[in-house]
Amino acid sequence: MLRIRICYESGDPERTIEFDPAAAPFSHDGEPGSILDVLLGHGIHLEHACGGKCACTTCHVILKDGEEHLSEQQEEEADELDNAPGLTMHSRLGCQAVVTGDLTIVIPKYTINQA
Amino acid sequence: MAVANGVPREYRVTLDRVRDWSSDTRSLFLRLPADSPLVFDPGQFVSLALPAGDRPPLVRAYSLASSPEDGALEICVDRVPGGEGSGYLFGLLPGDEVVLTGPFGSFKLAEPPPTPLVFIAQGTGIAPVRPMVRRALATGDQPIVVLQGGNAATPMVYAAEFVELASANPRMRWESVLAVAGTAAADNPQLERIVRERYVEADDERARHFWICAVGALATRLRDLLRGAGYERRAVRCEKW
Ligand SMILES: Cc1cc2nc3c(=O)[nH]c(=O)nc-3n(C[C@H](O)[C@H](O)[C@H](O)COP(=O)(O)OP(=O)(O)OC[C@H]3O[C@@H](n4cnc5c(N)ncnc54)[C@H](O)[C@@H]3O)c2cc1C
Ligand code: FES
Repeated sequence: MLRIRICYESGDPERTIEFDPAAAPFSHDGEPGSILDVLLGHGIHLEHACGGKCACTTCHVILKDGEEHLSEQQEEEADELDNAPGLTMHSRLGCQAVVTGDLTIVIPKYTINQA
Repeated sequence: MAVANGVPREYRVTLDRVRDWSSDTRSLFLRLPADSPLVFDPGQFVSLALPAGDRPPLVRAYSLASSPEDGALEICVDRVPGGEGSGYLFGLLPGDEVVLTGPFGSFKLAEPPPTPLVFIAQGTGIAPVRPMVRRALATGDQPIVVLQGGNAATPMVYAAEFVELASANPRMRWESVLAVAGTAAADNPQLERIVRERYVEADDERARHFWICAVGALATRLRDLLRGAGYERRAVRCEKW
């Protein structure tokens, strides 16, 4: 089982989910086993205006811990991340980053969707 | 009502009418509430929250095929076999409402760069290209090429309009590039060959700007072909559905 701890920049209470990566996909959207797929499949909301297709950055998350436990960033994710408001060195797109180990993520307060 | 340019907002829109291009491709004309304009750049998309799927809302993106100046919104939708989002949209009747958020997307053309512009699309991927070409024609004087890929089984949406625009504007060229019979709808080796011959092998000119839109791996292959040939990364924009 893998574990994702989810913190909110908005101050909302944090959540933790445990899941079996072999059971992916968990939802309709994002790469199977991606942060977006896992969260949606466990009833945790993450914006995903383009349907998890790497075209909007609303699924932007910031890694606080476990960044190395994610699939390598592909060119389309790097292209799209350039447009994310509040981009950091530890930013990823939730719909593209596939989880391979335990993580702690922060969901930024302002995504494009709430700018 | 004053709306900050380009900031996404939620709108409840009403389906006014549809235009069928074929049994599986349909334009939906959506009416915005009277006091809520949607300010967007040509090429951008809206995000529909549909009461479909086993965990609604099902969120799906659709490019705006209309121009910001048009007022009504037009999206052009393919019916994807087994697809819950597109299936839901094909079941809508005039008068039905949909909730959408937008605009989104950096695949756009607000002010055309002063370089030759090349638009490459397969199938319904031409939808976001339509308003970008109209904008480029209205504001610049650079050469414009539109390569519209398709195959004999799928409709060449907006082709008649592109033909008209090209005949009225000598600096614009439009070509349809049909894949040979039997090619999967999302593929078009002919289109890839033309792009390679013309924009990779024919000359050393690397100032062109490209906009590529297609479903799946074809989009990525075209992007990689051009970036790999020396075009600047940001000059090769790509939207993969
Ligand atoms: C930025 C963006 C803009 C988009 N604009 C449009 C648009 O203007 N018109 C449109 O029809 N679709 C568009 N799409 C695709 C659309 O968002 C949905 O993916 C599509 O309608 C399928 O959703 P579904 O729930 O019916 O099927 P799903 O089960 O979610 O999709 C199954 C698969 O169908 C394929 N697919 C996606 N779009 C198409 C298509 N148009 N034709 C054939 N196969 C497809 C994909 O491989 C997808 O993974 C866009 C996608 C993105 C990311
Ligand atoms: S959901 Fe749009 S980029 Fe991830």
